[in-house]
Amino acid sequence: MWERCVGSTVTGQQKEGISLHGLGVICGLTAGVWLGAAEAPTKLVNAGFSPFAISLCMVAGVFTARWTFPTLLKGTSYVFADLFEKKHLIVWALLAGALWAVANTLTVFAIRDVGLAVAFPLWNTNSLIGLLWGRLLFRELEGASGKNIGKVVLGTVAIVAAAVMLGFSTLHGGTATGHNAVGGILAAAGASLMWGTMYVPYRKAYLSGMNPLSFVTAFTVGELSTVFALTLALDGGLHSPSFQLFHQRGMVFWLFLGGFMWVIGDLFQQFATKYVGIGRGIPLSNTNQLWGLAWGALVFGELAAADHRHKLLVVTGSVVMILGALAISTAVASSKEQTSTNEAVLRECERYGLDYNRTMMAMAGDEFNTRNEKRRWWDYAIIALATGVFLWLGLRAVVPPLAMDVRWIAALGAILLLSLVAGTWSLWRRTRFS
Amino acid sequence: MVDRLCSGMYGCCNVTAYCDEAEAASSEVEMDFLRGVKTIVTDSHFLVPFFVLIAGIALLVALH
Repeated sequence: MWERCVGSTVTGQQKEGISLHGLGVICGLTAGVWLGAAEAPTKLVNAGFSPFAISLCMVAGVFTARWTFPTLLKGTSYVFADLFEKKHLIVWALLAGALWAVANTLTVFAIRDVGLAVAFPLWNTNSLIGLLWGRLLFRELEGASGKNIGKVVLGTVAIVAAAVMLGFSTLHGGTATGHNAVGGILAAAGASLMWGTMYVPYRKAYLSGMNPLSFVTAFTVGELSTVFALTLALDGGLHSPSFQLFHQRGMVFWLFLGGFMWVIGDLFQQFATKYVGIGRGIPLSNTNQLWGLAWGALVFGELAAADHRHKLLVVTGSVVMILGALAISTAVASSKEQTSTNEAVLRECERYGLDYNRTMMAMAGDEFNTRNEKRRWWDYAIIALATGVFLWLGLRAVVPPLAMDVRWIAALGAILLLSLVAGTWSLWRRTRFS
Repeated sequence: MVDRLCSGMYGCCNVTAYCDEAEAASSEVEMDFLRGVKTIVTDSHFLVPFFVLIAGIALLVALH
């Protein structure tokens, strides 16, 4: 029975058109483009607000956007039916949200105590942690050929190294202001461990056939409530200066916009995790560093005063990152590796009483017309409310007097749109966002 | 009939057979719930992120 189940070929994988691996790669790369661009609006807010304030405001934007996309694409009936069919996964979604929030706060302490130059390389190793958990807990890369293992591991290491190089290229002089070096290093290493571990719940949910759109809806509740609790506990309670930022309406829009763009990137990252696993999906979406740097350097002129050494770091980092992404993209899982994945799915089905065949179909994005996707009046109300919040903030937004290159905004904006169209079209065509 | 007589606390019903049935059903739900909780908290996929989260919160408190 076991052999018959895990060895069976999933109907969805035999479909014509783009392969699931190809779809995962497109999603991972699109995630990188959007996660990198999400940094751009936050650059407009540098008026000395506390990191807690920036984080809380951005997460509020994330929360608003997170409920909008699933409602728009599938409707709340679908999302809640999916969530309640696999109720146990709500625990993992909340856990993942909490992990993200604590990791994000730890980076604040890391920057304070050891500076970005030391902290950044440390927390960028999160994809290596993800790779480790993927192997240990979900049998990723088990049965893979030596060539494929080499491509994934070396590709991940290359992307981490490139991210560090690109990070260093934007640093000028010492940025550390702290006094507690050991604490700062522990905070950065902790953030890396937590972000890397955050992918465990992601993968668990998708091996159980959950739709990423449903997962993020619960994830964002854990994320916002933990950020809120941390702000209350560590940043002055109810009188925290963080809450003052919400009165600065001219600034709030940019953070909400950053959160909105981050949500799009994160959704693609979730789909990448679903279709190629955390070992491949996370390093691909970590190419966001390249796009973040492109926005910083080309639009905001952050490298205008860079010397020859810094420019060399940018070029080398970019080439290494592209090579790393290329190596991972071409490491297509063999049928032996696929069998290990199927065994991981079977484990979930046996432990939580899920239907194996249905879960495999959902894993392959093949669950068309099995659930009610009919929109209710409250779906339209949620979308209208979220759009209204963005419009209301947008009309009050103030553009700070920062030098920006409009031509590069147009060029990078076009790439953003192009990647969105490519990613959305591929997902729609192959899985109908399942 | 069972619902009407025994909805809410068991004390509301006055027919022993109905009460026994409802009590059995309720304890089954309770058992299912406990079994579900046990399945989750003994899952390594839960334990790993849970203890990492606890460690992270402890680190935050220590650094604060």
